[in-house]
Amino acid sequence: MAISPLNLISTPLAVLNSVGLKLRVGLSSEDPMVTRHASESYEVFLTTYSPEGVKIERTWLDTISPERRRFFNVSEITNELVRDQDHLAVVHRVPSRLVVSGSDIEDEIELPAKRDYSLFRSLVEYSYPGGGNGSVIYETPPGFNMDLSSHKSSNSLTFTCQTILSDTIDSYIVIINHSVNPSYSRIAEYNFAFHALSGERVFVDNTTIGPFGIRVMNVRDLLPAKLVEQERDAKDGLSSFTFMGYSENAALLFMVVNSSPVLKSVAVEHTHPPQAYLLPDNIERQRSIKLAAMRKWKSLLYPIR
Amino acid sequence: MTRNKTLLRRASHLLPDPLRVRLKNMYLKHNHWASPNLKGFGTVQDLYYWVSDGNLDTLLILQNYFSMFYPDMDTGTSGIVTVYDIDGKILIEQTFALDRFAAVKIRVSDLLNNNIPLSDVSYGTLQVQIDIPEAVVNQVKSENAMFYFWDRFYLGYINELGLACFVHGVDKTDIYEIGGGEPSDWYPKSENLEWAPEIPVDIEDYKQFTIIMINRSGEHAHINVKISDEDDVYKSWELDVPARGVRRLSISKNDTLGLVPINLRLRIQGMPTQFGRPVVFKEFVNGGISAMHC
Repeated sequence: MAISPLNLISTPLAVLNSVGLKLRVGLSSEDPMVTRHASESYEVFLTTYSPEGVKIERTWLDTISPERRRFFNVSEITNELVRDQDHLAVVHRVPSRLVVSGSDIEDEIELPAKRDYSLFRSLVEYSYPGGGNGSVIYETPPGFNMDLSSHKSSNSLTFTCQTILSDTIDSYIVIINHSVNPSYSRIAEYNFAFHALSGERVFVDNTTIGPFGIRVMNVRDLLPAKLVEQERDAKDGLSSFTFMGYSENAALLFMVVNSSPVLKSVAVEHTHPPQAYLLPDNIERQRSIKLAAMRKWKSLLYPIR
Repeated sequence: MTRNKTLLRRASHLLPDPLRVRLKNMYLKHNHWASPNLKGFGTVQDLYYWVSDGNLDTLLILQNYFSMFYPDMDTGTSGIVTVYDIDGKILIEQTFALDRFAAVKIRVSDLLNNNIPLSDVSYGTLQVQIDIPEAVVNQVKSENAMFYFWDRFYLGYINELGLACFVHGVDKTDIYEIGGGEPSDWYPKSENLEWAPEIPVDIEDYKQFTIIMINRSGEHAHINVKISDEDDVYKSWELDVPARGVRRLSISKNDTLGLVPINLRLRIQGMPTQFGRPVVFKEFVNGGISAMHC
């Protein structure tokens, strides 16, 4: 298996400067299942991209000794390069034994196929200065947007119920267009809709996300104020919507950030890929059902745009 | 069965690749890849942690996920929420209707208030079953294949300040076959697994840091939670979790005195199911809340 050591264990990070959130990443040098790669130390690298998706800098941050945890203040580092705009950064863990003096860390190396680093996820933590934090763990899926010649694995279907608004809560949908291929150049086209709890489709729109870029959508800015008011639950003040969207040309990662700048509170959760909801006996059917669903959504959403 | 599957998987890695692939294909010809217990058509449901203590409440926004996969079909359906206490005893069941593309919002405090004195119970587990819509049943049946839907919804929590957070489902508990009948266990047996959550913990960031362990198996589990610092000094706690029960451990900086309070690491010993990793619930001095799996 030929792979860049940088892609063995990595996590793309959305730096949310426009939302005023600090970003830390928490890393482990242990296999969470405690069955693989015992007593291994890791070198930590951070790649920072501009808001336009251009790689600005790759920095070695530190070594994590075996069986340890470490926080790294990502936004403190990236704010030296990008101050106000939202952008992508990627944190990498590379087993120290694979970092060879004099060789380029980007060069692919041969590893045994059974060298399994799955489930090595990063803690991604957002916070307001002086406030609470919200965090989530995830990693770059294997081979993410790797194949430039084919659309076979490059699409997304998303749905979630996490988009809520109130006098206290703002909700942001964060979309990441990342790839393990440094030559990746696809601009993701993403169509999306909101439904009210009644099932009524109340908002339809589309956006694009450049390669190695992110899109941050403030739900309050997207939805008409009258609609938000109309959907407000008088009992608890929440206006709840469900969100769905699809991209036919790129695999994307999603997070929903629910924050309260006034109370300095933030919570974040990612979304499951839709195939995680499907357990067919033939695993290929996960993909065919997802593709069929996207085609049907396209025919539903386009006539009203 | 899971233990056997794990052993088989480990043993298979000792075989040469061509033989391993051939044996794997033979296994999959007669068994579902996700579990040999999946032999028909239905849904797989999990147990989720609920809390309702006067400050925190649990917020269910149950989305008709069938509409997402089959948007051209009539996916109107119905469902049921079952709320259990910490030992897995049923407290209350509530049915609901769910239109095409719709979602239903339910607060656990509303379910309990009319029936159970809140002073008696403040947390437990719950399960949601959304029935497969008839049109989807007919579609899948026409394909004559083994097929299960696994509802991995996002459970919300909200506090009296109106702050909210969500956390997704991670594991499986019950297998429901289409046409009714009692569900079967995804994990009949409890395993004694070890788990090293990836997260560092800076304990002074939190007013309270709660580790929640759900036992999805049909057997009692004895769980050890260990928190270690960078000098390998540690403190540990024991949790006895009955079958289908839940227990939680709430700690603050006072509980970890003597440990270097930054970059702490957790270790779970005795985790009863393969993917039943902990939920951590974080509460902050400013009233903020957040939750995550780790």
